[in-house]
Amino acid sequence: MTLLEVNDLSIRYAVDDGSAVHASDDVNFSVEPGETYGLVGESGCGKTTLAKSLVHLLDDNGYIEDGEVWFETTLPQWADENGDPKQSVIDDPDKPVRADGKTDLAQLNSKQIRDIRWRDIAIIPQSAMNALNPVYKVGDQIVEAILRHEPETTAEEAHERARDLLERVGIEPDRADDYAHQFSGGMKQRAVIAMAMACGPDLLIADEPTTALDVIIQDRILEELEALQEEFGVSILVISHDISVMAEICDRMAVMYGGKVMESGRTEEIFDATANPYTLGLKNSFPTITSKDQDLVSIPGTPPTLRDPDEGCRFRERCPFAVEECHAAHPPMYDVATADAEGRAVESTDRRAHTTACYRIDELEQIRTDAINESTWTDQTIESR
Amino acid sequence: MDRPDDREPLVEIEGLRKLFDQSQGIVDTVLGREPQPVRAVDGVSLDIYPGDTVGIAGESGCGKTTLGKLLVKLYEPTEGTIRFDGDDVTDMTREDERQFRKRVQMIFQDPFESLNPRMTVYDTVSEPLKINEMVDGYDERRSRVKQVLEDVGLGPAEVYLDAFPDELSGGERQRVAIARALVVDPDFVVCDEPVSMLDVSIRAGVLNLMQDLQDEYDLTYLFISHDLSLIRYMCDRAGIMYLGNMVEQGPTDDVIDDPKHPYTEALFDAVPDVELGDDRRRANATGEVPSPRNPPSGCRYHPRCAHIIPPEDWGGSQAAFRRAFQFKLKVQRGELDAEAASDDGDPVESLVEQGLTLDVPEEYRSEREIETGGHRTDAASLDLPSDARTALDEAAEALLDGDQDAAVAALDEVVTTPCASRKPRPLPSGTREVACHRYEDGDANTGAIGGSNGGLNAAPAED
Repeated sequence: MTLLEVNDLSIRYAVDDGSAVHASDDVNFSVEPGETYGLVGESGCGKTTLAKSLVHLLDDNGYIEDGEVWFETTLPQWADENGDPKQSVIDDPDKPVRADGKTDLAQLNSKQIRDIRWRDIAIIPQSAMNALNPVYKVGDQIVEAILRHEPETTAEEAHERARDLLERVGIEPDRADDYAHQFSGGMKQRAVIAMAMACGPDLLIADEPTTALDVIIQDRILEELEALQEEFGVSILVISHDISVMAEICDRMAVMYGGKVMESGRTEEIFDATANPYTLGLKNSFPTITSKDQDLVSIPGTPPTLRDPDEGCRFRERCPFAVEECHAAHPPMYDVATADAEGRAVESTDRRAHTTACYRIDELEQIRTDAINESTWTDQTIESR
Repeated sequence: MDRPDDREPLVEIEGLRKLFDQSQGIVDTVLGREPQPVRAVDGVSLDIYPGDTVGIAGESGCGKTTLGKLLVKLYEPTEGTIRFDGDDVTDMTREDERQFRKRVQMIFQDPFESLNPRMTVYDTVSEPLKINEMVDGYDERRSRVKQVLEDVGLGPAEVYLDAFPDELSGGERQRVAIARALVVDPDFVVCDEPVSMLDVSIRAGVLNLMQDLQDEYDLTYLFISHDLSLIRYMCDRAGIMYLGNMVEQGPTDDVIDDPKHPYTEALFDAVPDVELGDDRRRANATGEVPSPRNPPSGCRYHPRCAHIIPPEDWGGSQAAFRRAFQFKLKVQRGELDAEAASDDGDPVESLVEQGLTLDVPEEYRSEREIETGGHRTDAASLDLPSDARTALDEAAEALLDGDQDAAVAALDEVVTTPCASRKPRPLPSGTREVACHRYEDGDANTGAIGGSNGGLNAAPAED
């Protein structure tokens, strides 16, 4: 059963001059329980916006234009004694609840979404190092979260749980009485993870969980996340630009570019049977520690601004494989397995399959071969300014 | 360092030290406290040969940026010498310094901050020419600037000359910063994390450009980065820094494929890799980088080291010694106290078992540690020599009495290591220099340490 189902989600940022930034456009993906799902892409591709929108944490000028965010949960006031939604709520067309027990988070108001945050979905924010309040004891900050979201807990129980949580992520329980500045960088990160786990969420959203950390500490934090997932069966939605980190921790991922999902599927499929020109370009452009004598090739041009973008594939201006068709509309998701086996382009709505947004999917073999050549990328003329 | 040719080094650094903040407040003076400076760079020696790209890698706070700034004379060294093309840069006449400033340039990390937002690209790139009075006249200057802009891939130059930085993308800005460095036709360029602020898809373009320019302008680079994969891609030689010390240096491929210093090994093990996937070994290092204000004695890395050397009369295994040493560190730091002893069972045993735990990734943990989430390990299964075991028990008893000093004293005789008492000198080992006591008698020491060590390509341990 799916935990999170995101359907055709479009998010806009309003700009003073009346235009809108299309930070995310018709995005579809779903996350299963216990799975690590990655949103990977460069800065400005919409990955953080997308994740924040799930729990209504967008900036003031950001709004959900369209789309659904079905999550496996029921608000307390809509639930029967088993935690399932009441029949009267399901039948009520004004309440965004489905018979399978999912609620559309996009339609909740700000009071309702507060019951979802922490309890169902917790966020490990970007630069978690700065996410701790410097004038409260670390333990008290965890206690605060527990008491807010589980008011029936006594303060004593909450303190006990805060200490257990810290111990669980490898911090001496006594350090709960310390302040954030007494923690090292790695410990702060661990404390923030403990805090996110405080109310036993089903989904953790980890936004660049290791970007500010040194490599040895990063290594330990990644291990910690994996261990937590194994123990509690929590799903993790990871957002990162670091492809090697993503390759290591994600079960599935979506590669985003310009607010669109370009390719999605199981991590091995994306790396071993890459099927999108953007992903191919990205793979060409980052160095790995193990390989000698690599030739890195960058993707020419720069990412688009996303302010009222034109029709057409978002990547077409930087894509050496762009054809006439690419200018008309952004491509739908095509099934990669069919293309690989039969050389045909078949649209796919199966969001668990390996799919790619590229019209030239029927020439996949050729594209893969050409993408390795540096000249494919460097010979195209790009209007860079 | 054997080199196939007998080129003269372009830059020779010897015993370089840079200490920050040696000033004392009035309270410290009254109380007679010794000043405790930050030892950012603490005794680094390095030769850089013309045409090479030398990488400096290490975690944040290891002193790599300070080293770079010392080399371009943005800082004055506290101690030690830097020779550039034979001349000591710390002792230069004004005229020599003018020449030096033309020949040495720096590219900074963040092109969003290093360019003046009120200066056009032309103003920015032509400024070094004006300051150094290198090119006479507007026309000549303009054509020189145009030439450099085209060399760094900003062509046609006319489009860019009058642009302000906020009209440019990150990649274009960094190219302007490179142009500004190259316009004076330098010999030596210090690049401090030149691509870390850029998007992945445009990084490669800037890196490849730097490589092309190296041939064209006949440059020598010092390339500072925390990203080891970039070091591998860019550099002929690599130096690994830890807390102001250079722990290992040599040809990049050798350093990465067969790291000799335990810190280098841990650092490279920690890098995630697309190709290794789940097979990657994790870094076998405990704890985090200590403060450079009060660094550990002896080898700076010894409190975290997986291969810490037992005393000569140690009767047990190195693995047991490493745990005993962690016990001692915990006692010294006050991380182990009577409160932590469990109520059930023997309190001494429970303290000892807590003290012997290692804060390492799961693959290096004992079974008991995995069961208890890292809070206990099985003391009986370690081959601790009996005198060490006695000392641990004594220390635990002292802790239960609340006497931390006695606990430390109980361990001081037995749990000692040469790594903490002597500072290792960088010595040649094969193709490189390593500062580690294990390599002081050639490679002879390494055999005794046990077979757990290996290069990056070694097969991962079976679970």
